Amino acid sequence: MLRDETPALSPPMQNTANPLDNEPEEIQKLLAWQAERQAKRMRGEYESEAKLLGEVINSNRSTYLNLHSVRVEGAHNTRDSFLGYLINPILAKDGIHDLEGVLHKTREISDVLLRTDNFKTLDVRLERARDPLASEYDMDLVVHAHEKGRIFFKTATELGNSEGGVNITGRVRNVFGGAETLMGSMSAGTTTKKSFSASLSAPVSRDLWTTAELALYGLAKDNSSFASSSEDVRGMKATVRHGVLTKGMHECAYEAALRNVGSLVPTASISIREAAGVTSKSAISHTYTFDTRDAAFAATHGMLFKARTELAGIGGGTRFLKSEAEGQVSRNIFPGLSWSFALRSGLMSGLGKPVPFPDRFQLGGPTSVRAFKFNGLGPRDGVDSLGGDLYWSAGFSLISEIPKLRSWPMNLHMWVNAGQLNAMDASKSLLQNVGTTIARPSISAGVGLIYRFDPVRVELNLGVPLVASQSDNMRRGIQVGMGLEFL
Amino acid sequence: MSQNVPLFARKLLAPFPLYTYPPNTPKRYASCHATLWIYPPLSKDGVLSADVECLKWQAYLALRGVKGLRIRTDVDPQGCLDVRLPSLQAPLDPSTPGTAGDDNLDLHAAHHIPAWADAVLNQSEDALEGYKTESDRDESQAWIALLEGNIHAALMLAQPTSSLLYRIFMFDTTVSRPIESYMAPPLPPRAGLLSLLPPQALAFLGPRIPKDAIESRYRDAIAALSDRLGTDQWFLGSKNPTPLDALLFAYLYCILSLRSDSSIRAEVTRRVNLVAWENRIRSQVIQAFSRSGHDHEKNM
Repeated sequence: MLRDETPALSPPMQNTANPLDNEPEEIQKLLAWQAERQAKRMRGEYESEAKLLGEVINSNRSTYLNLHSVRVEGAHNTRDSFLGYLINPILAKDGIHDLEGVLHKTREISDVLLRTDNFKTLDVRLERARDPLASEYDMDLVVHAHEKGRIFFKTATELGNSEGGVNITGRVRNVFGGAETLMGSMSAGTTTKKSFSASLSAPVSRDLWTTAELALYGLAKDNSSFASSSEDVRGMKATVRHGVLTKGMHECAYEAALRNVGSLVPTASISIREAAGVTSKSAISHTYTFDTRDAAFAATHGMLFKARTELAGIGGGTRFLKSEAEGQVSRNIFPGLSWSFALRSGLMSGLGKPVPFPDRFQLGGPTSVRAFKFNGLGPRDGVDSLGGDLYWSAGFSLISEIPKLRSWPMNLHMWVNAGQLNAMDASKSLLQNVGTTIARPSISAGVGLIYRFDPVRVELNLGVPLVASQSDNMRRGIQVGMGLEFL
Repeated sequence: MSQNVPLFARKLLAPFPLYTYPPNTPKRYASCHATLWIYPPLSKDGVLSADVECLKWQAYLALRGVKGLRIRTDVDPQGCLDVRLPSLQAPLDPSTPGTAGDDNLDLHAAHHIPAWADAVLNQSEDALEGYKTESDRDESQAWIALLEGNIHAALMLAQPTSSLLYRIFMFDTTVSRPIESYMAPPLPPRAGLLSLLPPQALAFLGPRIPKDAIESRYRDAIAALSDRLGTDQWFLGSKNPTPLDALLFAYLYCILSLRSDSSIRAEVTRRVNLVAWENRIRSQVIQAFSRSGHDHEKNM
């Protein structure tokens, strides 16, 4: 006889679920498993949608279409004339009138608009053309732009390049509606006592790969730790930049500056006393930079090449020709271990006149040749580093992760540094001067910890000078370095 | 190495560097003569500074009989002791001038020059400073105050001033006194609404230049100097040159170096005794100095 009554439930019930896909029993594991399954399903759906869309586009690539006009919505602070200046040449480009051509132009327009740095995001869609005279194949590109905030103001406390300081920075983006940026900053610090700068930059080419900048600056540096004096600088710089770092960037600049070496400490050497006073500089320069490193302050792969030439003497009281080059290569040996090699060199000529102290090269310190004090290499008069006309420095580092602390932004490193700085001896030929400088390197080696405090790198090193000049200002033992770029 | 480093660490690090080269020191012009750092002279080949303070010390050394002095004009006042010219670079051992190398030179501020000169000339300090009597010495203080007050103010008035643009962009590297602070007796305070403002706020208005008052006091001062000098060989009738003679010469030389149409200069040129006296002292001072190697190198 069949019973027509449902039996009464008497909890707790027995678990009768049939485990599928190895469902975990613990609640946390269950939630994670569920989230993973959901993500997998959504990824699958997205991939299939994308594949479908791709198939639709691919099968219609040659469909006749024409990009008739572009409408940019939401760009309230950007001048129409500037948008036209950027977009019209792309729109007017001759091309194949099909879906593929329209999509290419859409991408170009989106790229150039994003490159202005005026917009946070761009929503792009194609619509049938609104123009009553447009044909049925004409399309309008509608770009809905979300502009970035125009005014930016920041106060900060920073550490870098062996100094610490506080600064106030203000920036107005898109000042005149043409992607111009007005920036101003003031700072006070330990080595650079105080500084100010104001700059106005603007794009000067339609593709926005070329920009021009006009800057006014002033700073007061305390050089008493190596040159028994302070240095005040006031100047202006006009710069034109072209390109991007990863493909090679050119920078041409004109700079006019007044420098004053003063506030000498009572024990200043005669050489620094002779260097005291005001000098003026009027110079043109060219800098080429190629940088593919993954991080400038602690690269594990990529390379850097930088070359700079400066000619002073176009007016002003200072005359010299200065060239500097810098290269760095970093490679992974295996996961967790990489090596880095850097080489820097510079050569200058006073073109018949002595080069003023502020323009001479300086070498040594925790971000340069380690185990020597800041600017502690090269010609010295008493306690003062006088700088030189010719230098080279090289550094080789082995950088490894710290076992069991791989997620920490810290590394161990072993390093060997070498370099030399000399004043050009007029009684010798250039080759003899170069030979002497290369043949008598100051060398140091050590081990240390690197702390990656993006964008600043902090190092704690234990190092010793192995070979040095008697006049070099050495730093045996522990040395702390903070900086943006290291040897 | 710092004394704070533990002993074992010092011992451990002591052998480094393992190899050392000779020191890298600059090759500089080696002078074995005492060299006075001064503001440049008016002419390229001259040896007398265009600055009254520098010239005063040049005349002081020359009139005291120090020989073989060099001048150097390429050093900025900021490179000098007390942040002002002149400074004297001299051998560490003043009793043997002419034997020391450049590394053995010491730098003296202007106010140490008399002591250095005493040591070089092997003379003890004279309580009367070269004056005949104590009253002459006291009188000299009044003449010094006159020269460094009213006459200095007139000299400042006659010298060209820097442009506003230059003052805005150039670094303020010198400590300069306003022209009215040289006046003796001092000018009366400002009147009217301006008197309510603090002196710092008034500095933006520029110096108070009471031109007529300065010129009037200057004329009186020059007349008095001419009368007091008369036909004496040295001022106040001293037997030997005194610091006052050096100061008087410095001012007369600077005034006579002004443009020929200057009324300040004309006030001196009309007094024959002052011009003749300045002319005689000038030849004496010029003989004591020559240019240093640094200046020759710079002019090449």
